[in-house]
Amino acid sequence: MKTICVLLLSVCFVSVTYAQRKPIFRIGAEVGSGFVESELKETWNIRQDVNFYDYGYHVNYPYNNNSFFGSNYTFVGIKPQVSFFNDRLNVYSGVRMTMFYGGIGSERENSSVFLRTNNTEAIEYYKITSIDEKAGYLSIPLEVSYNLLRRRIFSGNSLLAGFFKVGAEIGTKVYDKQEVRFESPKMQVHEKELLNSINPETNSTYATLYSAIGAQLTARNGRQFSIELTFPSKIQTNNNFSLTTPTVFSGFQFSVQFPVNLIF
Amino acid sequence: MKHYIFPAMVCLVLIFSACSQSDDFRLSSSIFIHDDAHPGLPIYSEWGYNTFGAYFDRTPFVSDNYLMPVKVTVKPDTCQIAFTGKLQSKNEEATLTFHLLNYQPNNFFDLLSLDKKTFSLVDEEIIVTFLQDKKIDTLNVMEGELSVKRAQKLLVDKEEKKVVLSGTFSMKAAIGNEPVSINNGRFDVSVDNINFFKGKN
Repeated sequence: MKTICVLLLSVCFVSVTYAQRKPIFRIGAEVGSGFVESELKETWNIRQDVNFYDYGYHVNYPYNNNSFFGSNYTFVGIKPQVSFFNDRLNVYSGVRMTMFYGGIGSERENSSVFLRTNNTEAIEYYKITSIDEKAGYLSIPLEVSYNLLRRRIFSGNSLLAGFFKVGAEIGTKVYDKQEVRFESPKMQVHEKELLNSINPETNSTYATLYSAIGAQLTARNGRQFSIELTFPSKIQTNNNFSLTTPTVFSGFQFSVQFPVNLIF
Repeated sequence: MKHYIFPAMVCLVLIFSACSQSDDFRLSSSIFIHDDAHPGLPIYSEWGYNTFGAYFDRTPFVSDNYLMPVKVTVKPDTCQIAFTGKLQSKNEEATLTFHLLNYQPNNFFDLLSLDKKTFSLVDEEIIVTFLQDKKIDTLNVMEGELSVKRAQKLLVDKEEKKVVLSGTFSMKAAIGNEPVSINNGRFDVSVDNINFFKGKN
């Protein structure tokens, strides 16, 4: 939080100090994707295959350790931009829609994992082939990038720059769905009962802090094309997903920006 | 066409029975999660992980993946609950058996009556034996207890498959003239028709 405040104040100070220079406004779009390193939540009691640890007792047992477990994300957004110092310092904001996908299940065809319910009267398992979660977050990012290396290319008509960026975003959940697929189709009627018994409630507020490096190409007409890689970063809020507890996320982003002439 | 119906039906039966054997096989497998607080022993669990363990003095006596961890045998006047595993110091197969006198379950579901039951091992109603190296010793128990903390059904897709017995045991006893402390004993075992034996009266 302190970092965000310092960042915002710095941006405001720079803007005020150099108000005499005309900033360049751009509007564009971004798209990106990446993976989320995460752990299965303990609320999902899977027998054997997932989160099964041992000291070499049952590794590679034919019916164990055959489950996949993964989490990734994609996002799109609208990205207004203000550039200072001849495009050296750039401030971005906008609106971003991020979809997270998580899933566990069995990789073997026609196989399943045993998912235990919260029934206290008996040990009750359902045989399921997969559990999937999709969660959508609408957020407002605030990013600041600084171009470190600049070079004229294409006979001086374009400017290629390397940049370092820091960013933060805050958002709210707009979509969340879990799906359980049972090995036996006739058990599918118990999906709602199973989800209610596990009752995976989540936090609607979502915030991240991240940093990235990238390359930016500014054409003679002012259009900018950027690609960047996000360093492993942490989701600052807790309990955002019902299936997993994320630790770090990392990925890439591609954006295109168009100059806008604004009259003050 | 009629010539193919019977073989096709046999194939279908074999296919579906193979599927159910796969589930039984998976649920019968042992999942040994080490107890960090008690090296060499499995954690205490109530999941039907088919493990047990105890310290014989300081030597772990634990289940493994090849020996049936528990067999329940009902005889005319006794129900025997036998835990078979290995003594780690000698890597030898051994069996610790609790003989419950005057307890006569008709089938493995009747074992649910053991839920939350505690037995004092000095009572005349219970005898403890230890089989090792083809020699059976009746333990002279000075103090100890066997506690079945949970006896519960195991269901898969709403179908009752097994009974899971989970609990603890400990005792001070003499094997022959040798005193031994059997401590930190825990078990989490499943019983079904495969390991439930009832002879004819």
